[in-house]
Amino acid sequence: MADSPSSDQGVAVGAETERIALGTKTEILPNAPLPALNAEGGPAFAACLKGAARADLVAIVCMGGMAPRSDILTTLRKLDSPGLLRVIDGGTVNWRDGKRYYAIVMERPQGPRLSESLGQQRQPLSEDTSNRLLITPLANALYDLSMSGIVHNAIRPTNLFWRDGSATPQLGECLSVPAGIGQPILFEPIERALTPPIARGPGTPADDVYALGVCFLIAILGRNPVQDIDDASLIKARLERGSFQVLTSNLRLATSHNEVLRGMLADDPRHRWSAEDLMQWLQGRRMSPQQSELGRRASRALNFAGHDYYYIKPLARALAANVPEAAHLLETAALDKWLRRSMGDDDRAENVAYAAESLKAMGRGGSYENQLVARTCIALDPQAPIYYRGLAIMPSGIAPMLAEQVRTGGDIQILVDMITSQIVGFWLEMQKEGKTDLVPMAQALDRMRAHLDKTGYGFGIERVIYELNPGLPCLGSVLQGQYVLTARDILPALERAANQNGRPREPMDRHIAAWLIVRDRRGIQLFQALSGDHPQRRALAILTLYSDLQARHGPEKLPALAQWILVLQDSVIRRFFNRKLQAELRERVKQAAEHGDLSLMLRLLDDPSIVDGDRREFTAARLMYLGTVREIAEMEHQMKNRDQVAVLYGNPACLYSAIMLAFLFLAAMIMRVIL
Amino acid sequence: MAKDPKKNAAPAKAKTAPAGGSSGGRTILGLAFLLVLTILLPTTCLIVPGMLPSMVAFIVDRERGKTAALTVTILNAAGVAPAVISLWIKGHNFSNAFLILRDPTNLLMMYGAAGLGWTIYFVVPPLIANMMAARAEGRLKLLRDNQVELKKIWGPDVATNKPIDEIEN
Repeated sequence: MADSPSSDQGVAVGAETERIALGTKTEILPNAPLPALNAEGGPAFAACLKGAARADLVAIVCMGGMAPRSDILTTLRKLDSPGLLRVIDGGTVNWRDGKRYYAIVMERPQGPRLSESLGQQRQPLSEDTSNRLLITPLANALYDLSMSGIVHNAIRPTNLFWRDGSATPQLGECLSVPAGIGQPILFEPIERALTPPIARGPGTPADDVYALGVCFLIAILGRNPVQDIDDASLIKARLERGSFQVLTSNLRLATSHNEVLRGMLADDPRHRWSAEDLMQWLQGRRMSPQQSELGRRASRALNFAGHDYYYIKPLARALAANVPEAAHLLETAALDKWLRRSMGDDDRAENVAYAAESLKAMGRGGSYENQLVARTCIALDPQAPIYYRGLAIMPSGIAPMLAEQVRTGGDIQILVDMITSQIVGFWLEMQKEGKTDLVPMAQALDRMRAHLDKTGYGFGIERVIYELNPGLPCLGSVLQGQYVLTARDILPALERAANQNGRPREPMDRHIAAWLIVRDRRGIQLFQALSGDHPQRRALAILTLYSDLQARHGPEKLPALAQWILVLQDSVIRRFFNRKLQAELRERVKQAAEHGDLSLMLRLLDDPSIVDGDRREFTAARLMYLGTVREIAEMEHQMKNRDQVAVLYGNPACLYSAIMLAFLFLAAMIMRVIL
Repeated sequence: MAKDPKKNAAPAKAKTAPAGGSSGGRTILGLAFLLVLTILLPTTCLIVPGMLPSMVAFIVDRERGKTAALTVTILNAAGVAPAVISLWIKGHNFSNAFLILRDPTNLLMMYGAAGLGWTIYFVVPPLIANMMAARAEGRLKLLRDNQVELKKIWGPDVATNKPIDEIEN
């Protein structure tokens, strides 16, 4: 076994030790890797509290790309259970490669991993040792987790730390990857084992009990009892014979172990022991675990696709794997007859009929056969994942799988179909127990249909993934490598992105818009301007959004981002009619951008008094121009028609001249006479 | 075709009523004028030949406003007035009237004034027209410069009547 990292008292931290700060509390030592503690989400490094002399903590830097479970970090940080590695801190760090990652700082485990690999063999544990020193503390840990509403989803021997005979066993980290990633199917209950890891979702506390049960079995045997069986065969065997039977067949187990494992490994989650049941059993209360239930066995087989089926679970899976044949079967009454007569299960037959009726009521769309088979499989085996178009997925796995597909550019159409076709609502309808816990999830998915119907900024698939995945950072291409998790992070990230080569034209895309609506709880109005074809309104909307963010979250200066946004504002400046005003505004806005003051830029460009005043003056200028046009026409007319002018103006002048001359002459005469 | 006598009567009445009124007034004025002329016969003997250019001007002037005639008449009258005043001062009789008429200076004054009137009539209107044309040229340049300035400040759309919102877009 590799040197235990727990035996290391921690690296000494000197003044010259390179450190990377995580928030204000902890620091990570990038030059002190701890490969023995590497996690699914990324490598491990020594870490310490700020100012500490020794780096006696461990940090997992999530470089794997998948979104860690940051939404449960706050709850886990408050949890202090001896059977869990204590979470100290979590957040984004600026790593040495220039990117930002999510990092989790935890206490170091007290012992080595229980196993370095699933194939590793070790000394079997005695009944007393296993019950007292292994299962009891871990059952307490599961109990603490379930009371906090957290499902670990990463319980396996390679993620369990224990120094035999001393120290408390500790469950390893469960934050660095989405729930179910890195968990072999051996440690997943059958319904979750049928799905790809990303499609499992957070699961329930009963799933943790199952995983602990398998770990317990491996520990007491000192080996993996199904090491030589491949995954596909293992699933098939579990479907046909039940997990407990498959894992413990031909094993001689102590009575207590038999009892506890039967309870922990029950395939039916309704019959599987909870953490509380486990603790009661450990305290001496004797329970009677249900026989591992495959369900009823049919008196006669149903032949489908060349195979005979006596049990529901394998049949449902087979139907899902052969949709055209399954649809053909469903058109006949064969399945209904088999359920009623051979299985004696009228309830299930009614559910299957209801599945078809409810689909017909929705109308015969393009995916009718797929929908029909999917709903029938749900009616047959409600505990199974949803089988749809070749995908097996737990309803709680839709959100993380959608996020991962969007992140990697994978196909999302099947998942979108599942949301819009309300198949999850049907799945919920078919659940007999635990419905109340599932209702919020189903309601959330139902709300997402409205978002998927709209194509504008702030809606669509982008809105859906951020609504359904609270811990998902913004996946906008402009923010790649920035790990923007909160509204406070986005402007500094855009400021860094502004300085990069090849930056896009705008510091805005559909992801940023959707993310801001969800995380920053913005209203939709501003984002409507982003969807239109008006470059002016779009530019102004971007400036308004980011200036508001700057005012609320800082930082005070964002010169690079301001310059980036400034380029877009040309159309906004050109909406002013007065060219001198345009030039003046350009200069002033440029100065504001140099200072990185987005609010000032907005005030200059969108001051209602200036905008209205400019329009008014433009209208007055137009009237003035019109006046000059009229006057020019008059002048030109005068110049072309001098005779008319002569008559019009000259004739009166003649008369006035004559009268004046006559008057002067007479006055002169009179004066002469008088004098 | 015989016309409706009633139709003819009404317009005829309409025409004659005011005509009757105005012609009556003119007649009275004319008679009064003749009476004055008769009483002031020596003055009349002086005025009639003295105002001959005016009478000719009224006959010759075909313009609607009779501007030429009025201009000549005003100046002609101004030229005749000193002679009439002289007659009244020297003695209002025929011999003084003829004496004044025989004086070439007086005739020169009367007819010279009338001639000045004709000169004014021929010179002033074209002069005025030319002056106005020159002024218009200057004003045109100013107006065109204003237009250029307006376009420089507000852009070419200041000369259009496009709706403002279309210009912004």
